[in-house]
Amino acid sequence: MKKRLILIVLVVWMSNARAIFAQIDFTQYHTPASLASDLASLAANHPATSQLFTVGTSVEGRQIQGIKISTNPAVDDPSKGDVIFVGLHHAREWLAAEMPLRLAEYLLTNTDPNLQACMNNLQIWVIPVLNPDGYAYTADANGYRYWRKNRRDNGDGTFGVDLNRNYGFEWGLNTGSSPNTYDDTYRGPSVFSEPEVAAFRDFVAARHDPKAMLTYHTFTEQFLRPWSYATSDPPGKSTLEYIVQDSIARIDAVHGESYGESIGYLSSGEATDYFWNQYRMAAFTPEMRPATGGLDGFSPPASQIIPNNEENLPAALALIHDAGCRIVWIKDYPGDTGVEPSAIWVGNGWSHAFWVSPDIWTVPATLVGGSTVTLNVKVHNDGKIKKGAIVSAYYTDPRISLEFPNPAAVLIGQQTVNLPPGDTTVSFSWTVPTGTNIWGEHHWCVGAIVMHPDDRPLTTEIQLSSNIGGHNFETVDAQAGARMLAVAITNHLEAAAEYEATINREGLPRGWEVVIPPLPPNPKPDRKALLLAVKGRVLQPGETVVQPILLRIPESAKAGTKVVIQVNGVLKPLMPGKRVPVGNGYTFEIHVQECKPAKSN
Amino acid sequence: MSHRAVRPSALLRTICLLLACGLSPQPFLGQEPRSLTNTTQKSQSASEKVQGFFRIEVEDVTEASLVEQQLKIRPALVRDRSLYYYGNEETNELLRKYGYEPMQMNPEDVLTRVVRVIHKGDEEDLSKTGVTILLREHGYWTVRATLTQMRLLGRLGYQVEELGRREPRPRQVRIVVSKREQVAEVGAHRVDIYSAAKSEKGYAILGGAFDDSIDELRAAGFKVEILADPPGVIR
Repeated sequence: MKKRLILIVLVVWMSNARAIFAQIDFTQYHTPASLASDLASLAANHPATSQLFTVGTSVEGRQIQGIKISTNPAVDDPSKGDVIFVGLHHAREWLAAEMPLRLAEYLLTNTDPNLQACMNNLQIWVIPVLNPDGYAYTADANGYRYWRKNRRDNGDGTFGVDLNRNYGFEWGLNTGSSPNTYDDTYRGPSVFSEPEVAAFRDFVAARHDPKAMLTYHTFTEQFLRPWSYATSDPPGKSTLEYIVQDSIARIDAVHGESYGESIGYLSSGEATDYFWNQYRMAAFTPEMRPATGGLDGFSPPASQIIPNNEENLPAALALIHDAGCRIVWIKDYPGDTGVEPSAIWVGNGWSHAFWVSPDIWTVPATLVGGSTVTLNVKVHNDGKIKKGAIVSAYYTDPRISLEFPNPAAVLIGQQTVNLPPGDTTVSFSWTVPTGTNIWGEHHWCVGAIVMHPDDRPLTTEIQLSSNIGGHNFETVDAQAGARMLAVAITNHLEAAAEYEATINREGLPRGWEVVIPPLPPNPKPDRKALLLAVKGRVLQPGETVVQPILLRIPESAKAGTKVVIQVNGVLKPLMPGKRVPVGNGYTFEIHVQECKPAKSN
Repeated sequence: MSHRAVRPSALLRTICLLLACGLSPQPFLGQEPRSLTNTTQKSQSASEKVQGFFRIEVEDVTEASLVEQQLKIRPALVRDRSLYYYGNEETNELLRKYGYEPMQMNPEDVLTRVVRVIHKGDEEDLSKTGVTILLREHGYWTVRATLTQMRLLGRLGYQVEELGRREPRPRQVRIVVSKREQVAEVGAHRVDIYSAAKSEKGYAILGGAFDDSIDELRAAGFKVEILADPPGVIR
């Protein structure tokens, strides 16, 4: 009897142990049912660190499921960054579902303390299949293995919309999608017409701090960055390319597969373009195995699943590392501890003046056109020595709406340096331009970026990345009386945007007046503004305006007084859905001079 | 106030189609039941009256999306600078408040169906009706036609069949181009490019395309080789 009891206990323990330690079988392709089952088992076996979630419902009513991986998966933690991995926009690309499933399994079973440390700062969302209807159709004996789209009944005798042509950025271009319902690249009747894509858009919009995304596809072995809709350069091209090249090297190091970085054709209404434009979150498309082929390239032998997963894992882990662990960084404001975002728009201004990095300064401090100055960038290294770190410095007109790098910023220099633990100052020789900025002043602002393969910036927005710092600061000598200051604002977004500027009047001495006069109204009413009930000035993409700021210093102001005036600027894009405010600010330090007696004739 | 776009049901349109073209209902017998709520042709609620099919001009896709989001007018179709919708006077009045000028359209001239046309005469005769030929198959063509064109086909004695489960499949094609920029050019002719590998003569593109796309490519000077269908394709 006792032996039997022991045996039963042993059997129960072993079955539990098998459940806990069982590995997902990647020697064969999953079916939609076995994939859902394995995803559920994964969550059930790791209840403390994972939880299933539903993104939304497909056009045929199937649930789009994912697994959230976090130290407290039941709570949506606003203090953590969000990293998203999504597979199978296109139904026939089965490897693109296997990879995210394997990634989820790896993240939940690894014991690497360095990776765990980064994961602790993140909420990781893995959605293996965004297109469950199409997936089911490809797996159905009465379906079609090479089906690409979802299963929307187009109402005209045809089925399906290409989900990766249905996103709301540059949708509708015939160069990268088709208007014809029967085509495999049919973009849908309107933007976000498909419930799968709309649900995914809303899911990302609901995240507190979306930092990075990989959207898995097959095939041709490429690691793609925005833009997909055009051959023109996106803002932050060099940052995106750095990640692409680094990811390609990581993939190559596993099995020697040499991924490329360009697919050669355009695709519009595509996911990564939308998310980069909307959130400036690093978004990439790995087009995985095989390198070449016809339709059969979408159904490589099952023996390819494991090596494909293995070689794509390091690029995904690097992204998690970048999003979750800060190693090399630049302060955004004097009290910055490196926490990102360093500031958020709180309705009437930014929570911190993140454009006054104390880690960026010139010697001498006053810039004289044509003179050569030293631009210093102090970089903090919280980790071990980082060899081959790249520090880049830029200058630009003193604008609100800075991002680095951006097309308007000019590269001062780029240095590859070894960063020991602690602080290192990297110096650049900079010949200040002799010309004037956009409104005729000899004043410039500077920005800097630090990156290393172990810590890459995932955005171009200063406040969203500890790898980026900016110094938008001007010292103004002024006397009692009226004085006009000016800042420029450029709409660097791809959409028209509402512009708003505010003054932080805290600390403004009694008697001082600062007024931001409204800009002249738009020459012609903007219908998007009307639809959104926006009353402020709207800037079209690429438009720059100079915002005057009227300053009145009272006669009572004593010479030598220093007063800081902080201007906050924001652009709110005229877009449907979540209107993510972007921008930054400008700090003037007013030095009161003694009044000079008026000259008499 | 809520303004919902309403559309005639797919069933209603299908009946119209059958009447217009003298179609036999036979092809529908093998068809999967469609979920009307999930189609782009949403069913009409009894309380909502459709008065027509309209078009407004929008600046771009973003504006079309804002119309949908802010005014709750779901587009039937957005193409170029046109937003088409099913609406009534209430809908149109709302749009006018925002400066739009709704224009009544005939959906039969705008919306299309993809159907099979059994061979009769030569292709030239068929093309004169203005339909787009997607596939030239043994015994039939798969065409895209407006409802007006379909009525004409019926009058001309063509036998027109609904596709039902017989969904059109693109052909597998191979196109060799000498320059990399031409890969994008091929893509712009609606080829679903599977891969574009460097070859001795430039780049060998493998992709999927319908015959209308293949015609376009050939007219543009590309040499298109049609490959064998993969397993599972029945024509």
